[in-house]
Amino acid sequence: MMAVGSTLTETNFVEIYRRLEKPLFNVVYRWLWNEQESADVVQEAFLRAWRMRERIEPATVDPLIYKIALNLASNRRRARRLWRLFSLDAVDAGGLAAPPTEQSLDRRRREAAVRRAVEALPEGLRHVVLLCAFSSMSYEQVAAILSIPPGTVGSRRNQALKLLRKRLGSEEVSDAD
Amino acid sequence: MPIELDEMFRELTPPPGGAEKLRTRLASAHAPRRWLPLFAVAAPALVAAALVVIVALPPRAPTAGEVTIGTALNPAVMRYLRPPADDDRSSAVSVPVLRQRTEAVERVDDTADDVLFFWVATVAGGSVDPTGQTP
Repeated sequence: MMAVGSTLTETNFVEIYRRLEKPLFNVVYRWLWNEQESADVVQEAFLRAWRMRERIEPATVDPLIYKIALNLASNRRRARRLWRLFSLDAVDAGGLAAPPTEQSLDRRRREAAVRRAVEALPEGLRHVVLLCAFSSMSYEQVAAILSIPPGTVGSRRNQALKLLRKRLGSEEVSDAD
Repeated sequence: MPIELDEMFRELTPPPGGAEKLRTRLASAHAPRRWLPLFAVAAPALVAAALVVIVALPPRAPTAGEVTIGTALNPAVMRYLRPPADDDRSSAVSVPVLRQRTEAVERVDDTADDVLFFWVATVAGGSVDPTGQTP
């Protein structure tokens, strides 16, 4: 993370990107469940932050980018849901591509089960559990991103994990499935 | 086989080339800022130059092409050009004047606004003279 008082240059902005790309991609992916779209959202979040770089305190750039990315991902989900209302093509494109080997089928079943479990979480819990899992940020930082008290981060995380364990425990994926 | 919680937290790798793509996009994000001051100066300069040219050009009869285009545009343009009823220009420039091109324009103020008005009105369908003479 950058020191207070320093300025954001193109070079250190790209460095921040290299550092945050993977965790941010993982968080956003669990919102959109689409690789390309998630990569686009990560890029867009950085571009938006870059456009407002003169107003950003460099020390707080990480939480800000997470916040922008989460908002963008939520907007995309809403737009996608609306689009599906008016579209007959509700098939998930990601589910059509891979070759149907037994291994890939099993992986896809598992991914679908994980996706169902994550999707079943209320939005507030989902944000917390994803940020805690992938961002390697402190509870305080996660709290700042989500505008909630730090204590709430801990309790929501525990609640989310409990729900996920319960849900995934009931998801049996057998080889014969 | 039950699914473990680790499955959910399995780290995925983003598509390659993200940093290079971002670098390119950041570079192009600079561009509008660099061009903005130029546009801010160039746009008024272009408008001023156009007005100078318009003022400097002597009144002339429209070409056949201008008449054709002007006749077609006349109703649409006049809808925007026609001054309010209490404006003293309403008696000077009106749809019938421009359509028939026979009556004189009583007065056209020598301001950029009026010159532009006059020029657009002329091209739009009439051949009028700031001195009040019709060709």
